[in-house]
Amino acid sequence: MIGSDKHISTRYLERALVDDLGDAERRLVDQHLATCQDCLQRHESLRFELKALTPHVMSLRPAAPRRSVWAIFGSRWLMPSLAASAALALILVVVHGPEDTLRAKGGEVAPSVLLHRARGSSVVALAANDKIAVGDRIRVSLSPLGSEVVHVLFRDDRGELELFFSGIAKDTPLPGSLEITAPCVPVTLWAWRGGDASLVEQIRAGVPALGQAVTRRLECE
Amino acid sequence: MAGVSSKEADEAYRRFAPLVWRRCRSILRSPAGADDCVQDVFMKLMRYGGSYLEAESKVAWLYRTADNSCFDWLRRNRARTVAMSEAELATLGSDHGGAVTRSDQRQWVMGFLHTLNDEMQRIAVHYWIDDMSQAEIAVEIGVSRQTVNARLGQIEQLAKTFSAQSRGGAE
Repeated sequence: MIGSDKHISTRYLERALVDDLGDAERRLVDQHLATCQDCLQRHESLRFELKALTPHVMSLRPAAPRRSVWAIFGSRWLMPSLAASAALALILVVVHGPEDTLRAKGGEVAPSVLLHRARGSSVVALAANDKIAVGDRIRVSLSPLGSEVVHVLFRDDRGELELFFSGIAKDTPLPGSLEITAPCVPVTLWAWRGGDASLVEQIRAGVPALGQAVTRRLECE
Repeated sequence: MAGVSSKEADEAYRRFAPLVWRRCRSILRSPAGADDCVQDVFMKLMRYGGSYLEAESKVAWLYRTADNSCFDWLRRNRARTVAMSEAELATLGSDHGGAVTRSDQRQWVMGFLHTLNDEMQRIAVHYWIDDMSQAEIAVEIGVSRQTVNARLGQIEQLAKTFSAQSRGGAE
C-alpha cells in the first residue's frame, strides 16, 4: 500500500475514494493522509477529476460508443490539493498571444500557457498564427506554477470536449499531449485557475466562459 | 458462468465506472477507446460477473477485466497506436529546461504497450499506472519480486528498441 517512496499507491487512493477498502486498510490510508500533504493533494485531485468525468461516463450507458476526433496522448495525472480546493476563486481575464496569461483580477500575474507542437522530430513553440495538422502533438506548459488548481480542456468545433488536465500542475509541461487525428478539426483550448468545475459543463454546452478562462484557438492548416 | 443482476450492475456502474474509464484512458491514451472498453467491462460484469460479488476488492475485479479489455483493444487497434520516441521524450524534457518526469515516462511506456506480452503488459500497467511496488505487483500477478524486477528491466530495454525502430521507420 505504501510504496518505496513512502506514499500511498495510486491504486489504494482510488480504492479509498470509492470505499473499496477493508477496515484495516481504510485506517492505514486515513492515518497516512492525516500526515502526508502530497498524498492528500493527490487524493483530492483524483476526487475532483472523477467528479468532472462522471457526466461523460454516465452518458455512455446505454448510449452507443462515441468517437473522438482526437486522441489524448496520456492520462491526466493529477497532483491535486486540498488547500487548492479552497483557493479556487480567482477571476481571470483573456489575453491572446503566443504565451497567453492567466491574470488574476487584482493584477497579480498567474501561470502562463505555452503550447509546443511536436511534428515529426521537430518541436516548436506555437506562435499565435501557427496552425495544426493531422499527426501533430500539442504539449501544454503552465509556468510559473504555484499551489493552485488549474484546469485545461480542449474542445473541437464539433463539440467534442476533453478534460486534459485538472489539479495542481507540479510538472511543466503538463503530462501527455493532444494528438491531432484525421480529419483535422479546429480546436479551442480553455484553461482556468480555481476549482469551479461548473465551467466544464458550460464549455461542454458551448457557453463561452470569457472572463474566467484563457482561450487559445488552434486552426487547421 | 452467471452474471450479476441489472440492479447490481447499475450500482457498480454508478460507483465505479468513472474510475474504470479513467484507467482505460490512461492505458489506451484514447478517450474513444476508453468509451468502448468501459462498456465492454460492464457488459462482461452483467454476463459473467458472478465472481465479482464475492470479490474482496470490487475495484481489483473491475480493473482486471478492464485491463484485459484494453489489451484486446490495443491488439485490434495496433495500426492506430503511435508511440512517443525516446528522442522526443528527451526533447520535450530538455525543451522545457526540466528533467523527464515520471509521467512522461509513463506515456512513453504506454505507447508501446501493445508490443509486450500479457505478463509484461500487466506488470507495466501496475507499475506505471497503479504506482504499485514490485512486491505488490508480485502478489497481484503471482510471480516473484525478482521476476517483476527482471521484467521491468526488460520492458525498459524493449522501450528503447521500439523507440529506435519507430524513429527509423518514420525517417
